[in-house]
Amino acid sequence: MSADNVEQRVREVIAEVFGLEPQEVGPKTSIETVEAWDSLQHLTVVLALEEEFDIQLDDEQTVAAVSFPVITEVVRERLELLETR
Amino acid sequence: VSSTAPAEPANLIDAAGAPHLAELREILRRDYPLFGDAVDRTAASFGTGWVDDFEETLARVCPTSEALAQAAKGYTLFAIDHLRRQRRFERDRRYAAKSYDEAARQVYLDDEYMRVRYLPGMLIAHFLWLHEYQHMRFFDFAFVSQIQMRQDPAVAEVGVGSGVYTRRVLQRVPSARGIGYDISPSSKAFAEDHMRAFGLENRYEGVLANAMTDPMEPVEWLICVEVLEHLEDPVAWLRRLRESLLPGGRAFITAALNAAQLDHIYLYEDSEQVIDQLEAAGFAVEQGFLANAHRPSGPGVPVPAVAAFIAS
Repeated sequence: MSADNVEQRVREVIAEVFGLEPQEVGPKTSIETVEAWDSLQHLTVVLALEEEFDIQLDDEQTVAAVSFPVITEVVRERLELLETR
Repeated sequence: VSSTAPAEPANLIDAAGAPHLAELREILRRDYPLFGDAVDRTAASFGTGWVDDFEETLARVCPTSEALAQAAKGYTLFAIDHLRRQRRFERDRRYAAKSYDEAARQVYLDDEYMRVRYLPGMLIAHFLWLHEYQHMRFFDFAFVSQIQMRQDPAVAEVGVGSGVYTRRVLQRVPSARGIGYDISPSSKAFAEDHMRAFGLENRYEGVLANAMTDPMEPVEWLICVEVLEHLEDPVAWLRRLRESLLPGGRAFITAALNAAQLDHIYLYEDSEQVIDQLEAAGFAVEQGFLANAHRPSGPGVPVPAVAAFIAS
């Protein structure tokens, strides 16, 4: 799976959860900049990503992944881990 | 704005008056932004009494920066696991199938899990989660106030956990003696350290025991906080608790409703189910208190809650 493809799919998941246009999701999209991004909605994002990519984030990743760039990085890490198995 | 409106959180918590709470808030803001507003949000709900209460607990139980950082990490991992399970529960409307023995192996008998996540997480949740703190206040004014009127009362807590409930009794009732039963060696140690941190160790005894099978000394005052949902047969447990209550005694018994956690196996959907079980076990319910964690996220979506009862 290409890096661009992962980024675009993460972008689309975040956009859908928060009712944004995909192009509105960028490097600054985070819990600090999206008003609706609270702890309950955060889990909606995480569960949607897990379903989209068929992966499972651990608790520390789930706590840390509170911005578009970090989420993209964490998803890539999990996918790479699956590929090396 | 009424004169009773809470003060701005920034004025409630400052490094001079509440240094440990201010540091916990800073750790959460800096390292765990998902929970970055938790301290201010709860402070705004409860005011200065809550600030003093939580500061005292943190100062005694987590006196160093390292201990505070560890507790903050434990809390965030405890909370995120709960949130993840809760979202699944909202969809499936059932807890993950598990036996009591499985839960005991995964949680109560796993020392690292208990020390790193469960015990510090639960202790902090009792202050940061609105419904949990509301229950501690109900406990203080409705139950501890009754104990205060007795001479040399003996109190037993079954499933003592972090020890926070028994500690509040021993703090407020200088003639009281407490005994805390728990199946988890980690809980026993944590609760003993908790009492020691408050200088209460001479009036407290921790006992490693399975309260379903091991003997319990009957007492006048029983505490059993959020244990029922961990059991396969809560009524059998309640019958045993009832047998351990001396005539004229009172029990403070609570249950978590609609709250998915790793070790919750019995689903209570409403407080009437708990009342029915208390009565089936021979208790007479005298007072009750129900608090939800938050508003439903949508129509019909279950919300975690705690139901508490004082029963004789």
